[in-house]
Amino acid sequence: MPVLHVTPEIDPVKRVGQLAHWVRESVGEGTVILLGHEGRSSIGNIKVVGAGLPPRIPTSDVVEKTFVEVFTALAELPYKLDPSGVDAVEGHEWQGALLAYILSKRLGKPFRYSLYSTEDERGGSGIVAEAVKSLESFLQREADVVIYRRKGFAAENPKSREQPCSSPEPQGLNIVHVSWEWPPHIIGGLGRAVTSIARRMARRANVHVLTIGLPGHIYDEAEDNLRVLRVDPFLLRSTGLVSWVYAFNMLMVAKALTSIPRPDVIHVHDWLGAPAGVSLKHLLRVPLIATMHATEYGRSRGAISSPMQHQIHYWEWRLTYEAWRVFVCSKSMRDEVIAAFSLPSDKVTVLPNGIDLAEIDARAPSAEERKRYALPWEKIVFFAGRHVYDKGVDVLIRAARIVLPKRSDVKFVVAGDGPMRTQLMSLARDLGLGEKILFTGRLSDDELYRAMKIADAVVIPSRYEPFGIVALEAMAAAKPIVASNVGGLSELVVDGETGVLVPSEDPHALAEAIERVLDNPRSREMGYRGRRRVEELYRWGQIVRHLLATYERVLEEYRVSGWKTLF
Amino acid sequence: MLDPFELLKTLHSLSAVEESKAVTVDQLSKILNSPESELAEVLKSLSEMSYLVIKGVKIYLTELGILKVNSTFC
Repeated sequence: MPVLHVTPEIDPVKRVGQLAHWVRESVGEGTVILLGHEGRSSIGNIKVVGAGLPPRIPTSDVVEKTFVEVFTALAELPYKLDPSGVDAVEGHEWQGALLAYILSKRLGKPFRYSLYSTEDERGGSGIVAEAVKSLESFLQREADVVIYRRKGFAAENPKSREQPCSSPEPQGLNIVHVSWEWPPHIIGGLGRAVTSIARRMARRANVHVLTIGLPGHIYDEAEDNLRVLRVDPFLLRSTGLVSWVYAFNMLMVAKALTSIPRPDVIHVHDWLGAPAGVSLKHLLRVPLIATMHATEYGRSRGAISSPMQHQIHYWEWRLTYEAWRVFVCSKSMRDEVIAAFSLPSDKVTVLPNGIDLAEIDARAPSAEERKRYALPWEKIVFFAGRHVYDKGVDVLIRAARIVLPKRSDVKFVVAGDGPMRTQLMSLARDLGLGEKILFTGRLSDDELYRAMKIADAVVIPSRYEPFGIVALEAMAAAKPIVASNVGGLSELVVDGETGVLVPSEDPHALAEAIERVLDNPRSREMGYRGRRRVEELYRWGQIVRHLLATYERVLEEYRVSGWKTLF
Repeated sequence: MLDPFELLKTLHSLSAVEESKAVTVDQLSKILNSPESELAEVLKSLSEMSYLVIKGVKIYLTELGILKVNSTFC
């Protein structure tokens, strides 16, 4: 089997257009992997191996559809095809070439790209055409040989080819964390959690983090046992957020196959790393662990409708299905993932997020700093979070509308950013609260912790909250909390002890609770009790010890599992 | 009226995240099927909020703009 071919169609097994005929003529003989197809067949001297049927989920365009087919193939081919004797992997058109590109990395063989026509020649326009052009251009750059089939010539790419990583494996457990957030690209609780876990884990294991790279970032950083490898998801144009995630995942798979020694465990955080994690699990035959920080099912209250939601929900299900163990951050999340993905309860472990108290304690805001947010006589009610529907910032603004006409000694400070920011600022303005609600925009961790320490109360009016890392940060800063009685907040905040819990989506209850906390001279004690609770229950050290013990148990099970692949 | 967030998402899809990958108003206008005059107003306001950079005819997202689009997913 000198050349292994990959194609989206071949005559007569799967015929979409003229390409099917051209591919059959070009291949002549050998083995062909057929994308989006199941079963085996022969056409003369050509052996056709179906790469696997993709899941029946709606996709928005051909780019999304192709990526789903490619990730399906990466998980199935190690059980269908013995690659012994393959000298090169050749992808036909960009669809086949995407899979061929990854397979060539896994097998350490040259990647050949057969082009029949380009998107430019086809005259495509619009966002899908832009994405296809970008993929074609990327694949031409990456290929060792580009074969212009209809023009009848091949061009060698004069570059050295990356080989699968063959560096000696270091001692101790080798863990790969797949996370789309890593400093400075931190959006929510996920990034903070992964960063804290990986840094502490590296004291006791060899840790690689596969993550996002943006302009200006360092793409390969190592410190002791922690190595952070970034890939640039903007290397390719996409058709939207989902295909952007798919491209990012494909690049992470390629990076892992060429730059990381074979790991013992792959730990994926949320669906944004799921296609890469599932692919690497099967390509390398390595146990997968998942942490679900939130779910689309929870965010949408079970109403999965758009193609994007279907795909997110699918990858969340697939990740939890494929994982040896699933970690969640609260009891409510455990119930949610069991219901959403029909998981057996003994597969799911509750492991809360922790907090680095030293990070909070190191911040000491000055009296001058307070003036940035409020007048000296104003009490500060502080919110921090993404400006999305789930966080309930609109409920907080409506509660402010109830509080503010009665008293002039309160200032609401709303930190963060997100898709709803403009809308929320307009709401505050329309309600006549422009002067008394300060939208700070996104704050750095340093600014956030300083601002939190200045606050008189921290408000978390979420509609959906798997954990509520802001509550933990507020407790660490010894601040009383007013929070919705939902999700992880119900478990973090002890009503009447460390804060006040109110029904979600109830601005009147929220307003009443805010006033109660501001006016209660013993509120400060609530904050101190919260601080003690954090010190007792939410330390990263114990969380990481639990994770490492779980990895060891999983590896014991893996060693006796008899799990085999042909790769 | 063009949704400002849609415009940010389009720049994100087009990988316009640094000057070397910037797109022009003309390109954006064609892809979004929106007249340049309408785009100009939205672009100006997004630039004032530091979500994107306008350099002559070139436009690209800032890191804050990337974070804003990515925050859809958490």
